[in-house]
Amino acid sequence: MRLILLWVCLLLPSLLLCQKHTISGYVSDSENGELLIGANIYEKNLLKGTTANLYGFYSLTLEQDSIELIFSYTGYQAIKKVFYLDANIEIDVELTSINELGEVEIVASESSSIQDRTQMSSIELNMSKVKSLPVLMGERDVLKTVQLLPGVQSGSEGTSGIYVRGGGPDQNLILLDGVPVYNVSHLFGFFSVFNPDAIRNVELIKGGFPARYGGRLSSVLDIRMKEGNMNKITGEGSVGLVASKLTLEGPIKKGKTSFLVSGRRTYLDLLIRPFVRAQSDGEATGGYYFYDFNAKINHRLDDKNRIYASGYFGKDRAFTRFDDGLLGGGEEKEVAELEWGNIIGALRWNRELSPQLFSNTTFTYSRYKFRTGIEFEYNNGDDEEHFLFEYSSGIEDIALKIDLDHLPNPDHYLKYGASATYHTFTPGVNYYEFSGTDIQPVDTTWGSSIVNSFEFYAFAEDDWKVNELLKINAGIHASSFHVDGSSYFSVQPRLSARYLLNELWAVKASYSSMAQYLHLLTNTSIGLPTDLWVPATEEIKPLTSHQVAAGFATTLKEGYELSVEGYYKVMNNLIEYKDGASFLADARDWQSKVEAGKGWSYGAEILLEKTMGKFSGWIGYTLSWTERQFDNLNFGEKFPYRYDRRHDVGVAMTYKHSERMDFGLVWVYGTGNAVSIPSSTYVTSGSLPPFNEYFAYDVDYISDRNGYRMPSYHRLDFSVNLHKKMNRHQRTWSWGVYNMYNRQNPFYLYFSSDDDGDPGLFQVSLFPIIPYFSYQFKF
Amino acid sequence: MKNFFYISILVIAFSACEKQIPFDDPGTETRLVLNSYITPGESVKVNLSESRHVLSDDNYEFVGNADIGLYEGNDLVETLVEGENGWYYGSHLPSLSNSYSLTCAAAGYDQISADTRIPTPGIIDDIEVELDVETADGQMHRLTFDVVDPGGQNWYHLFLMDPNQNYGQSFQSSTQFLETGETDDWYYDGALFTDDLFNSGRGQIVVQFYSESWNEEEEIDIHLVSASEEYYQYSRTLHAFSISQYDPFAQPVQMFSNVNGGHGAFTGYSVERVNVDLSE
Repeated sequence: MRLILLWVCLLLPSLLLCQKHTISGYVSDSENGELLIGANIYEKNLLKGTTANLYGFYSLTLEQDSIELIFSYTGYQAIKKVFYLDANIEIDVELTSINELGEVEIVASESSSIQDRTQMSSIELNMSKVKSLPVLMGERDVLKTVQLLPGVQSGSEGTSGIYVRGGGPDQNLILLDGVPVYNVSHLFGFFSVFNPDAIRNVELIKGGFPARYGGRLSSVLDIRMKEGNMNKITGEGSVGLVASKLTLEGPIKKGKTSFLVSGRRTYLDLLIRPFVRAQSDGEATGGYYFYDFNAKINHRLDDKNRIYASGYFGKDRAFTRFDDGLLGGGEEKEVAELEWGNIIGALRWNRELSPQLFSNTTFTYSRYKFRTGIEFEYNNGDDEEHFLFEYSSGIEDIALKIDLDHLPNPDHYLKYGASATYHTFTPGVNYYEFSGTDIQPVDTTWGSSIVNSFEFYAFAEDDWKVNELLKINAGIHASSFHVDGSSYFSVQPRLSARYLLNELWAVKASYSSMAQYLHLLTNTSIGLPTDLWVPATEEIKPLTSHQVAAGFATTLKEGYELSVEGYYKVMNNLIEYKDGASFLADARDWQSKVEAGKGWSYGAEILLEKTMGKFSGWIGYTLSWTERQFDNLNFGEKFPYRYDRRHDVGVAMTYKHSERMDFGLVWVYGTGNAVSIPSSTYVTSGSLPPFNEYFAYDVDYISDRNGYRMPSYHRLDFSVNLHKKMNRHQRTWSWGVYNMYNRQNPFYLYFSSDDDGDPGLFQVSLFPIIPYFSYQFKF
Repeated sequence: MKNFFYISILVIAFSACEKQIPFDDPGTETRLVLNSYITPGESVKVNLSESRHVLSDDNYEFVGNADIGLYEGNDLVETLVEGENGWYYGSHLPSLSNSYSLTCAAAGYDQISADTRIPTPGIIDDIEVELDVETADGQMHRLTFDVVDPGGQNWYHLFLMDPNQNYGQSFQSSTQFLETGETDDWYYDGALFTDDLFNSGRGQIVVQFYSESWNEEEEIDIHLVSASEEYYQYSRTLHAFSISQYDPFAQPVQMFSNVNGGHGAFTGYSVERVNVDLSE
């Protein structure tokens, strides 16, 4: 007994010394209460740290000791907390923006350097950059800023589609508050659906995907809406050439419940409508508009529970209407409409299950619908006729998911979770109705039938600090898809590693296997709303890919970051329309119009970024090759993908001259798109045996699919933003020029004749030099 | 000065829309175009012309004074004799299951060559006739029959034809392995298919066609073309080209050619023809 007591007395001090406690809490903005995603929390002496998750929550378990904890975030004044840790403790921290402190320069945070991060092929977008860079018509656009990053290519001129590392537009998982957005385009792709005033954070991942993400092959674009100001009512808005927008946010109950509403609408139709009416003697009207509406409510139930409800509603509509009063009485009416839009909703519950365990449960709804129709009515009292044709397509998702963040100690950051999604696909349904006096009524529906499917996934990952030099993010993502009696299963390992060569240099490598159960059927490059989302079926297998990447990252000197990456990606079961196929051609099932094949993409990306100082921005360069191979396309030979772009350069710079003035500059260069155009023509027999007649039929000779290169694309944009603090608000006048040196960039090519009748190849360009201005205000 | 500024802006703005650009593509050089379909029992004839630059609006030119040799296997069997309008004629009668080659040399052009074979015909068997069947699209005649495959990889082109007029009858079919169908499974230029989905060397086909549009003789011919692979590939791309050439949203079509160094097609085929009585 004495011996035991002696042992206890000897061991007790060391047991107490080894005792661990957890510091947890939230990091937020002192001014508006917005939670700061990715804020750094760092113990200065132990060299241990963590980052705040997507909901601003952090947890750090340390041994009982005197603690010197630093909270930092890019663009914010760091805070140090010194205390003795002898029990679990909750510390909620509010950081103050350097702008609020009256500083001009952007200051980088201490421990967020590029070489420290395990995640490679990932870029977080600074929203202030999005707002200060020049853009087409002055409409700030998150996706157009993303297009300037290496590894990301734009589609056609002016459009907001993104093509990441050789993948198609359907291979991007674009999430708004964790909900997939299926169509991100307004105005046939010239603007994206994301209103930057309502957005807080944007992260793009191009490779080395953490296991928590899945369902797409090429990228994840995780866009988070603002939570709503917890402290006071604020607002911002703008009036531009194309659209105006207004955002309001504030507390419903101070410090407990906040709201955010944001709306945007174009007004071209309102301006044009009187002219159309006047030109048609009041008989016709028509126009085009789009609108967005974002809303969010954030409610803190107690210290450990928060709920959020967020929604997005957006619609594009083009229409014409013709009313004609007939001679002798009666009337005739003709209406044509084209409309599409998304509805997105998320109900989220965050719960701190323990100081080390955080849960996020989300119920989501996402719907994209496209509809076009023509309606004709005729009535003269004696006779009447009614004709209606409609075509609709779309996709609808209902999903439930739960994610858990578990931080047992500073060396491990575990994440696990599961999700179930019920998809409803409407891949092109036609409706026809015809009735009238002395007419047998017709009322029929045809086309592809509605398909329901169920998708499930589960994942587990660990961000593991093996030692001071080596950090690994390893995980596994398992998914299944069930459609029309067919089931697919996939287990996808993921691995990213970072090895510090010294304080400033790190080498990184990653491998990711991905599976995608949805395909986008598209045969145009401009993101038409007619593009169809279709499921994997018994005949059309799910897309899969394997990607490896390796590179290095360094901080060259304070505020200058450089990353160089090489990647190689193989994609299986890609689909393309068959030769000659078109969504207009006939009403057969979509599966009969497509071919399945393989794709390869490989290349290197360089990103040099200046993150601090008056002058900030980046230069990105991509050298890449992207190929496709299908048994029945290009006679089975490999061919370049439409957006195979050997060289792609994006330069985005801002210069903050003073609190009142900043400048933005963008320069882009890209190798021309690969297109298929005929090089010669010849006559062949248009009649096949057993018909005996020979008649000459001239056909085009296309030597290789996508074998011709359009001229290269380049453009320079410039903007000046003039800010002024007024009595009750702050206003900004933005002036800018898109395509400053009036480069005639190719949109499409066609053969025609010049004024003398000589045939030639002609290039159509969309946007010449375009000046713009907009007025923004904030209160 | 002010006006000059405004005019300059307008000129720049509207000049940016469209411009002619240089076009240089290695595929634009003029090449020989050879077209020939051969079948057992019919002497060989070949049409020879030249391709033209896509930007040219000249007439297509036939090519004369060419030396065209016909080979059966590796043996030269004859040199074709030139006729009018680019036609060249032979007297040799090709036979089933043989391989044939053409070589063609003409001054000013690269020499071209092409190979094909004449396949053994498939057999039409077990024909069942149903007259005036009520369908979702109205009253039609329906034919059900088997295609019996001679073995190996085979390609087919199915037509329904008027026995006297030598024109094709469009038909409807939901048979899964038929290709080149259009809206609601209607076939206007015959149906191409392969034997990939046949069971035990037999493939059953069901076709139906409007009875009221048919001929007074109340009979129809089933033409089953057993095609060489070259015939099948050429026909498939020709069909895709013809249905898509005026659709601005259609994918481009690359025409198949088995002519080395040139364009066109040299294809072999054989025909199984069965007359079906449609009287009550």
